[in-house]
Amino acid sequence: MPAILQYEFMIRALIGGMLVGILAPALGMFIVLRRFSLIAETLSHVALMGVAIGMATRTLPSLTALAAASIGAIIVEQLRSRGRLPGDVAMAVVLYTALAVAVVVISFAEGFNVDLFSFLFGSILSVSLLDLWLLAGLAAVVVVFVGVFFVDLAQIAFDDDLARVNGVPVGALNLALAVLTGAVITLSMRVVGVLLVGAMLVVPVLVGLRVAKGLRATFAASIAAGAFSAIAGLVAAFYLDLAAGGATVLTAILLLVLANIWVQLRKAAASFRKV
Amino acid sequence: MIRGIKFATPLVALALLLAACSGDAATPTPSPTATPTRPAPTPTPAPPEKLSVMTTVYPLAYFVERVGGDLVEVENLVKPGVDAHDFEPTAEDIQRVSGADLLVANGLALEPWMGRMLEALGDDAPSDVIEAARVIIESGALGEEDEDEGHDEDEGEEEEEDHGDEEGEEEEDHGDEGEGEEGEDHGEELDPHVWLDPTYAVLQAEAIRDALATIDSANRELYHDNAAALIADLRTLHDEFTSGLASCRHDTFITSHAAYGYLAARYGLEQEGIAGLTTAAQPSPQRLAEIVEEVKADGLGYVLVEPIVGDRLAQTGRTRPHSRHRERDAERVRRARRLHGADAGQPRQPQACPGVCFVTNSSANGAVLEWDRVTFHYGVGLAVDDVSLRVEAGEFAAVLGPNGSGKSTLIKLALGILRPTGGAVRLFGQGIDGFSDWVRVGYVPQVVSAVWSGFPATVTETVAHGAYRGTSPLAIFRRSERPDVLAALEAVNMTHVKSKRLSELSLGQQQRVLLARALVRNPELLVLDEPAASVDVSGEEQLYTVLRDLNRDRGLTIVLVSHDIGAMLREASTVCCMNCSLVKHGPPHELTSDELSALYGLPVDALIHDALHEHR
Repeated sequence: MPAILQYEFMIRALIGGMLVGILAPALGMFIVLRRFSLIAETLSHVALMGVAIGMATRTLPSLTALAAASIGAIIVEQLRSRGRLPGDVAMAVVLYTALAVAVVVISFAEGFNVDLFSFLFGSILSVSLLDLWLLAGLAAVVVVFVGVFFVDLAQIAFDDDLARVNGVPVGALNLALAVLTGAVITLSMRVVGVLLVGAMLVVPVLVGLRVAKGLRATFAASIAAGAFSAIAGLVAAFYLDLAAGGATVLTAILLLVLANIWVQLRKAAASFRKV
Repeated sequence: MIRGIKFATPLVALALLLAACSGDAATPTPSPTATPTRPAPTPTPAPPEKLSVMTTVYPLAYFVERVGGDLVEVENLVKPGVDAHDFEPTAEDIQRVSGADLLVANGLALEPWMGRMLEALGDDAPSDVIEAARVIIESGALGEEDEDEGHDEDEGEEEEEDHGDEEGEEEEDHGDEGEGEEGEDHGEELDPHVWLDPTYAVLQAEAIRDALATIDSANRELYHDNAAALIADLRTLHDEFTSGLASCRHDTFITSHAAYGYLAARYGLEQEGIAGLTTAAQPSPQRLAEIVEEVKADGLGYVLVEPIVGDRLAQTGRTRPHSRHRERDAERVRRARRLHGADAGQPRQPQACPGVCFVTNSSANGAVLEWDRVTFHYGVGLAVDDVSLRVEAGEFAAVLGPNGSGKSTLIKLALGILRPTGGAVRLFGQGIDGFSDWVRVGYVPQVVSAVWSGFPATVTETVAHGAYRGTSPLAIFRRSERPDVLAALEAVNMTHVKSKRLSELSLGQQQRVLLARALVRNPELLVLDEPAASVDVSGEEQLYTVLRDLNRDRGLTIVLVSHDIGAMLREASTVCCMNCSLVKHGPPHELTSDELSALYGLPVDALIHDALHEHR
């Protein structure tokens, strides 16, 4: 048995990382295609506010973060869909409000700033059994959601108005997607950290978009890229003694660079054949 | 922690002292054995004004309280539970410091923010500042014995950039500080957790005593007496450590962060810090693996945690073989924490044929689409003003008008994308609000947002999505290349690009794919928003040919927004001229050049060739 599998904490980290690697791009694809990537950043900071509030009020930070991210998701969606604010401005408003509240709560409350560090940078090496169960439960929900609504979500990403005229329940699905994204971000945050969780929603999808053609193929490739980044990142972190969250995201970025090189090479080869 | 250290007393003392490190002084419950009694009341009457002393961390506050007794008013900066390494003083903290007579800090980079704070205060900084740990360096007591103190995990250590500033402040009251710079050099490498070793704690107490006696020389004797009592207690603690730790089965203990270097060295113990010198650094996987190995190899049963760090990491380090100790561990941790004070629709007509078979509209009342006195405002601007218009079954209605005349708004109102401010919109005789039979409507927008996002769907997938008839589970696994999809592509002459990505096509080609996407639904009403805007002449001709056939041969009702006056006058059966309100509605040949000129605000000639209207 390789050394990495001899430790329970590494096995838990690998399972947790893989679940995040699968979940994040599964929802991330519909977010990236709607050019709504900033929502990951926004909701992660809203979740951070939830963590701060949870710690200040001595409730479970995971639960308050989940609640905060869900409410934040609903607010962003409402601001955006009612056309009160453009999507990016709505997100900026919510992001900075949440961050400011977090900073104030942190300054009020006493006694948790170090644990807050583990939320900022992630603590993939201390994934608890409860975290795994929560992630697995969320994975089940996301699989059912995407399985049932794949075409609907794709249509919304294709064009809001067109989807509406096609009879897709756009408002409800957007809301559900935002809330689920908030949940995925909250649970992934424990693993990769507030600062990097957005990357797991976006970067693997970009890899998928580079290498695959067709919606389903892109979806599959994004998930594969996410899961691979998580596993490879953790293995690298273990053997090369690196920070796990950073190594995971850097692996995804490396995949993106390789995917770009591969696409360029293919183009060059194609034009060479033409000549 | 310490299965080897079997004695409760050192454990309690460690816990108490650790509280000092994390600044957690919520309940510094003194143990009867390990912690000295409170200072005796001072015999002389208290002076009218007490000395105001600010400290940075709890142990120093405790020392000052003990030494100063009733003569001093002690306030501590780093609040219970906050880590001194990462503390950031607020504006109020800085004000409080400026009003103090004496600031007692630890130094050695425990408070990396202090230099910045004193710099910010400038002349308002307290006139007396001592760094209690630095005093130990200067006394020479922190010598070779400490240099190999096992602080190899100090990668997380944040070195203080502003030492120099503090130094400047300090020199005022320490005339003997000629070697201040030298001390600083040491300080950058040394562990700041000096007070955890009772012997060094004595030196810190002495430094505090001397500082107080210098500032308030009248009460010099009293400070000396109080300090003597504190020092005696610390020496008792040292003796208890020495005797209590003499018979340990193991000499290694694990801590959440490597703060016990001095204590370990003093009593011949080995500390293994999960994190480094500061609590902030997350341990690497390798480090955790090492700790797990060590726990297994040495049979260690306990990990000493601080409430400030939380026990997640410690839980990680715990391995199965020791599970039977869990309950006891938990109890031990709980006890340690207590000491730290941490407890605190409409039916759709059935489709018979599998391919594209565009059904002839048979709407009962004939009106497929109706705007009834519709008004719409964008904010304050009026876009559509009291428009009443009916599109009958089988009609090819063209909506003409200049830019900003409300043409596209009218279309969006018809499709329920926008809701009218006043009036009503009816589709197939139903109010738009309750309309759910969307499969009877096909829509070709001018442009789709997918064009900008590099949407990965192939042409086939895009068209297949047009056949959407309500959510169907597992649609993700449905084949896209179906006869109806291929027939729709054939109808717009786009079969040759069926496996390309939509984003790889030209705008004109995309437009035709979107048309196929609308047609695959077998709609009864087709709404198009400037479909020919990005299409060249031959593309335009192809498009109109398709639409003409659909309208004439299959009875499809078409509503089309366009700027192309000529084509519309040629193709449409009715023309609606919009300029916020409905200017003209009727067959194309009734539209005069004057009316068109008035609509567009410039001379327009309408030349209608009757021969082209023969097909109607």
